[in-house]
Amino acid sequence: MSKKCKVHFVPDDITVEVPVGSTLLAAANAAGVYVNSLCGGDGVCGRCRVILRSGKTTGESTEYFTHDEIRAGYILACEARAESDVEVEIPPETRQTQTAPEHEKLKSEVPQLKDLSRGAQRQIKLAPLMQKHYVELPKPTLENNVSDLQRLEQELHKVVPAEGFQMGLKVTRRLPKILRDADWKLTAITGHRGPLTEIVSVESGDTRRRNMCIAVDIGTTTVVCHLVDLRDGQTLGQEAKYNSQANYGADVIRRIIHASTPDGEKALREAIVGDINELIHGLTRRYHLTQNDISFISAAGNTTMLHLLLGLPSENIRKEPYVGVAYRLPAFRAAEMGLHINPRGLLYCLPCVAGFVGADTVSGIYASGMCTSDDVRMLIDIGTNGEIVVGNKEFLVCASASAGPAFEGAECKCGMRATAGAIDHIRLHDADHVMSYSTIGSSPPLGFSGTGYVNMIAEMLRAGVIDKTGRMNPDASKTQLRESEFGELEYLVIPAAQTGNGKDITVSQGDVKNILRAKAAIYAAATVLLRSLDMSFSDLTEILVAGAFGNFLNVDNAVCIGLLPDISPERLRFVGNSSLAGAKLAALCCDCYDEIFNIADRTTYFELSTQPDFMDEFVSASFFPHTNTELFPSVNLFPKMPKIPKTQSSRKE
Amino acid sequence: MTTTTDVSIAIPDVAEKWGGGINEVTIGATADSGGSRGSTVTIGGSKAVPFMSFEGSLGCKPAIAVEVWDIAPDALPPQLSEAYGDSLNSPGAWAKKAVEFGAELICLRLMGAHPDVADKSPDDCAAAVKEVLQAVDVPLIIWGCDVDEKDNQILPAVSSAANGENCLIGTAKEKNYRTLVAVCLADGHKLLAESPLDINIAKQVNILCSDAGYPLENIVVFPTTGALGYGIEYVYSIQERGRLAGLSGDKQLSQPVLCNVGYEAWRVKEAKDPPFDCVTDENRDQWGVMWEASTGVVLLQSGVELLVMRHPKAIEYINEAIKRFLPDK
Repeated sequence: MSKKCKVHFVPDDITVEVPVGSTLLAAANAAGVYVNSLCGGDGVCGRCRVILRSGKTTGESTEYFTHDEIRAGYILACEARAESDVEVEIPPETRQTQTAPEHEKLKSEVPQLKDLSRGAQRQIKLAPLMQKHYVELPKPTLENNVSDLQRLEQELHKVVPAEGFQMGLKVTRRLPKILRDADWKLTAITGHRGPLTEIVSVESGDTRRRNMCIAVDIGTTTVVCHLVDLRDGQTLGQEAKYNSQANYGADVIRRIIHASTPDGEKALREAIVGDINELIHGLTRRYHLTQNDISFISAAGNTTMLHLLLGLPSENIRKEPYVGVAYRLPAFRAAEMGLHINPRGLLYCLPCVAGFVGADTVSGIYASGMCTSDDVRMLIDIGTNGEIVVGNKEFLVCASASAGPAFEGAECKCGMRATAGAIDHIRLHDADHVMSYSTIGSSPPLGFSGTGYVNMIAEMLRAGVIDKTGRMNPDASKTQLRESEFGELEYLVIPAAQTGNGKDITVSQGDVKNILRAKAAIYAAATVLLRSLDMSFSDLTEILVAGAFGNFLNVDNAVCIGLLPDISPERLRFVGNSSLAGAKLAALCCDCYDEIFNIADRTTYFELSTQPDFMDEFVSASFFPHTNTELFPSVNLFPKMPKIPKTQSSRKE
Repeated sequence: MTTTTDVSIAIPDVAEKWGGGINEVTIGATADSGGSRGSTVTIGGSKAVPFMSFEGSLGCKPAIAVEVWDIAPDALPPQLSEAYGDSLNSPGAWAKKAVEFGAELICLRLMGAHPDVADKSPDDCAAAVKEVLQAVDVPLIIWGCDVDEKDNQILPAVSSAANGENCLIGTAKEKNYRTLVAVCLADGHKLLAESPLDINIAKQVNILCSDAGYPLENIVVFPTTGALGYGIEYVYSIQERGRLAGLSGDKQLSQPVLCNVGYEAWRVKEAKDPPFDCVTDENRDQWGVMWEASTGVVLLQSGVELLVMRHPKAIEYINEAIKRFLPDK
């Protein structure tokens, strides 16, 4: 038996016992305390900053800290190993608000069936994947002595237009007792299984009043659940939280790597199952339901997220030629995954197309209605992986480009997720002065959200702080530009005295380059995909922008930096979380569910990495807004000729 | 099999029609326009692919500049040091020699300013420019030492020393263009914009310079090059792609192009010390000359307007080639 020690985390006030020599990050994971980490414990991201208040640790390095911070006891949680009982403080920047992004909360209106119908451009007929049917069976007699199951099926046939029924052994074993105890008056729960219908369970009496489902979008960063009443298709409420797998790495690649380690797969699966259960518990508590009332879960997410949820080996997704285990899966018993709904309830996962084009994209294609129209549209889903789909009812082609997590606030010095304190809007008066800014929740600023970065970069371009290559002009500001501790230029946006964590909020040269690369990847992917179809942006009726990011993006600034093409604003439409909308449509309508599978079949995956012109387009797009300025006619960063004296002053130096 | 019948087929007109063209850039200023040059050189102006006169005007004749340094190079191949002799010790004398060899322009490289060479001061560099201006009356190309920080110190001084002479000064790069743009604007010089064999970056440098206030039509592009045998095919294809884009109307690629032929050719071992079996004592010295000339001919055909050269014999060959390609000029 190895020796144990206690690790006490503040301000959470949680203590956990771990073997001596465990890293603080491992202890935090064991305690369920969130510690920000991008690299998942490789000691390279420098994000898991914690403060050692008492006790002894070993193994820490100092390269990520200033002298003052080292004196204050700052260490990296992934490197420091507990050697005795220790007390660890998790400072604000390392903590995560474990509630939904403020935006999600503020959006009081959750899309209802009619909104979904409008989005998908069709009238949705309410026919949920799982339904409850109240039946009163004729009692068996000598004349009518068919089996119990046949008796039930005969009655169900009158209300369910199924080709046939199937029933599991467990329910069949219980069937005679339930039928007789209920005096032949019972509720059958049926589940959509393609041409067949499964009699999932039978309950005595009439329980139709309580038939709910959960639609879930499993994002790499955020997990969102909607609780839907299946009687009328109304969404009752929503809960969202961050994907706890973030402890093991910010992007899918790091998670896949972690999943291929011993115990890694289990840890990731338990993390996401735990998240979904937590959200379900929150919703059932709020609406006074029991977990039995949740009949099923309809899940969308990228290919890796679904693999991790189902415990499928994901390591081949990462390696050429990027093959996943399975893209089309039947419904599984949710309890098998450890999900807390009705023990007989099903988990319906929507289909994926390829290793990097998942059910979230397919679901988005359906919910946006692009697949039913004659008009050709483009759907851009901006996330860690940017997914781009072009098509209409005749064809659908999609591509995926790795944009990096910059637009989610990650891998930038002062980047953060869209939670309280994240700057989302900002205006510069000139290169020396911030005119105004706003933060989510109006909290004191802590850093930039992805939206905040888009706005900030556009403002820095207008103010001449950076040129179109993204390089900072050292002469632009005497007061705000300085050299960072890493020797690169950085622009001071908000000084420590005005921030929520007592640290300067800055934009570094590297941050600008990160954003530049991310936007270039998305724009280049869209361009190459369109070119392969012999089309251009002008051939598109509309461009639909999806992802949580999409709802709050300033279009002018997104065009100004060249993230979105320069088309008239009427042709740009934000469709919000289309992945979740699709999952909900599938839940509410068997036909929609089947059609989403059709869409997955109809969608052609276009591999960008084999396209020789992708790199050329990427270099061309690695410029604000673009090297081919004629593509962005409305972007005029310098309405007046810039004043020359500024550059002339450098002559005298 | 059909037997021959009398069929007349009109030969289709395969000439391309080009919507754009290459800008004309004039280097040098005579006394009339405030300078002291005996003549000026205008390059560019073509509205067709190189030497395809049936497609459109070919513009001005390609021009030859000869490279002169502000300091005697310590490792010049013997073929070159023999050709220039003692003149290498003084930029003025060297420039005179170059003009004798047929230079239409002098390309003065301020290599002496390089911190690892002689780390000459801005004043020293300005003096070298003045010396060359006095020694010869052809237009001048002034080229820094390729160390950004140092260039930003010396170029304002040399630009000011050549005020009014309408020189071509380089190079502005993606990472370092502000100072040069400002001094070229202030002193009325043309601007040489450098990019690493990449059309996108060539365009980006042009956009950056014009954002900083420099007129696009006064820019000459230096796309960097390689020598024969060292990726010249790639150089050719990049140059051709850029030229076709310019002719098709891309304003950011409508600039005439300069290539550093002598520098590239005399860097390679095939020119300095040819490692081939067929090399004899009699023809050994010819290899470098031919390497420079062949590199130049390839680049001419890719559309380059301004060749910076070194060896007098290579200059002769190139002049001969230009005469044969353009018998009317």
